[in-house]
Amino acid sequence: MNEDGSLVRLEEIHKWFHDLHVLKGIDFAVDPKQVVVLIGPSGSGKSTLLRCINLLEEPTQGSVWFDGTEITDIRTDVNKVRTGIGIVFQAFNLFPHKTAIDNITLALEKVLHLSSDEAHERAIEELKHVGLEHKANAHPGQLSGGQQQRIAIARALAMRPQLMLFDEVTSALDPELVKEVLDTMKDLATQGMTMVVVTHEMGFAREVGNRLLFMDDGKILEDGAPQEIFDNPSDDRCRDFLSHVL
Amino acid sequence: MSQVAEKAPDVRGGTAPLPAGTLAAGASALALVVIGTLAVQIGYAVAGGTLSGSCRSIPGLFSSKPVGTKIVHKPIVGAEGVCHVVQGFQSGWETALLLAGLLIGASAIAIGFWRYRTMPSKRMREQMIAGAVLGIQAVVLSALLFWFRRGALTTFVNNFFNVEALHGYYGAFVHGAVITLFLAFGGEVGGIIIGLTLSVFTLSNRRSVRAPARAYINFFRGTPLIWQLLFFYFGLAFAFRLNLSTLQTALIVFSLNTGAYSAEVFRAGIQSIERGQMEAARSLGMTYLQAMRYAIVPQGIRRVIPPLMNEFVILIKDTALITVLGLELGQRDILDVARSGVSDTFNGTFWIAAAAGYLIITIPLIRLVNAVEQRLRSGLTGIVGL
Repeated sequence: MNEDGSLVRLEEIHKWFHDLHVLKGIDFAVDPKQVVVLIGPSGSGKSTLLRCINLLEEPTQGSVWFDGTEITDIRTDVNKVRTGIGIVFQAFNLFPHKTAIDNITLALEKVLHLSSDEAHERAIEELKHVGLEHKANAHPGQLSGGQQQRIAIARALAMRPQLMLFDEVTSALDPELVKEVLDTMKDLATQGMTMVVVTHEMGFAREVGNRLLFMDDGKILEDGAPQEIFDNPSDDRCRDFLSHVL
Repeated sequence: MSQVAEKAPDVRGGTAPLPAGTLAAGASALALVVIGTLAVQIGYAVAGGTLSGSCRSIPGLFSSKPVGTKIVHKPIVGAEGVCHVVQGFQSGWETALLLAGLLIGASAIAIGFWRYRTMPSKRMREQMIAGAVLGIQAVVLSALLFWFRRGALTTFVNNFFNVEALHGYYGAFVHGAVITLFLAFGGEVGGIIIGLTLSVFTLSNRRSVRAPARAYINFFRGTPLIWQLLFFYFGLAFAFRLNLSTLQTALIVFSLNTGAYSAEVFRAGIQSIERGQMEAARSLGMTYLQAMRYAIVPQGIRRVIPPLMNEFVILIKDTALITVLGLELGQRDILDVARSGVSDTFNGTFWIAAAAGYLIITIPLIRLVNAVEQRLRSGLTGIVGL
């Protein structure tokens, strides 16, 4: 935890892609066990912001604190920090040449240095959590999108992270497969995982999120309880956005 | 999953005498020219008899030497075989075959292209077109053969298709093939190791890491392999006081050269892996090198197997360049064996034998590459358990 009791804190984050100013001064903190849902129109900087939290994107300016460490400090071992932050991507990004279980055990063995037995055991356990232990030996190409995404969640959870990031994880799925992934995430939230979720699933935001952020043009324009914002958005752009998606 | 034996329906439709006949005409025209010519050749080879009679009338098959007051005519090496080939080509049989091929082929072309648009079914149309195309091949081939047999046939056949000239060199050719394969294999293995390492360097974000790898690759891709062989053997090996044999030098230079090319192949393969794979690996806490080793390179390698195999085929042929280093008896590769055979006998059949030797090695490989490519493209993951 950071000094202020938060798990993650972003301070004055700016991000430029060449001359494109994508994040324009982001300040926010996530407390343990919070489920923060990040919404906003495409191109608003949601994904970039999410990716700045585990330094897949390096903030051009500003600092990120995670669990008491300033991870934007150049002396911080980024690889070690990342083992505490799980991320799930829109495109699943499973390793296609490895089976489901090998996708999970790879980092357990090579990064956390578990023995192959321990890694296997933990992988099976995580597969059970997402209800896919019977697919342990399937390759990603043999699985449906929903199953792949659940494996990806299991892979991230096996590292026993303190924080989980979700980057539009249902956007690439066929409609009938969205529910199984959202249910897995809901379970996770119930178990007390700290989560930051970029999504277009407003139902999920309302039901599972306990904090909603609305972003546009690289800034956070709304920050509050989901129900309040949905019912009574104070920002014009947020109201406009919600009227289009709800 | 149970496989249901179901086949898509054949909707090409029926045929009729005209299109079927056109196809048959085109095919038989080509068969007359190709198979007929072969049959005539075999016939003359088997039943041509000994070197006598009509063979004596062919100029160039005998060497004349004055012995005392008489002039002695001695047949050249392999004169019998050459005589049979020449006689076969100049026989009336061959003339008849070629004429028949020309006429039947030409009529298949005429009918096929004239009427194919009027055919009522797809199968008929395809038969008409196939008949015409085969007809074209028959006409072109028989025209070429007509032209060819009016040329310096005896000299040509003696110089390039006189199998008896190869007598006593078969063992040397086999040994040469072993040397060729040894050099190509060794060069490829060394090249893959060098190339994989270099490709990781060229992908670095740091210019200081990238630059030397780029310089190496550009140098070896930018200079002729033959120059590299000569400079290494006659220059560097002396400068560094390396006591290297010709084959050792060749192995090193082939590895260095192939390394440069395969570095580019690997780089392309690695770059073709989606960015998300690197991100997924890094976000699990892997270092850059771990991500490369466990996630990116294994996928990249699978994609570059066909181009690497193509490169191997190219290297097999490039090994022939070692001939410029001057090889001793036991070091000769296929081409060098041929070269020494030609200079011993003044007969060019060795060049043809060398070509046949390379083809025997390369054609199966080329077919294998195509099969592998097909398999990778069909989306079946993994070849031989990779």
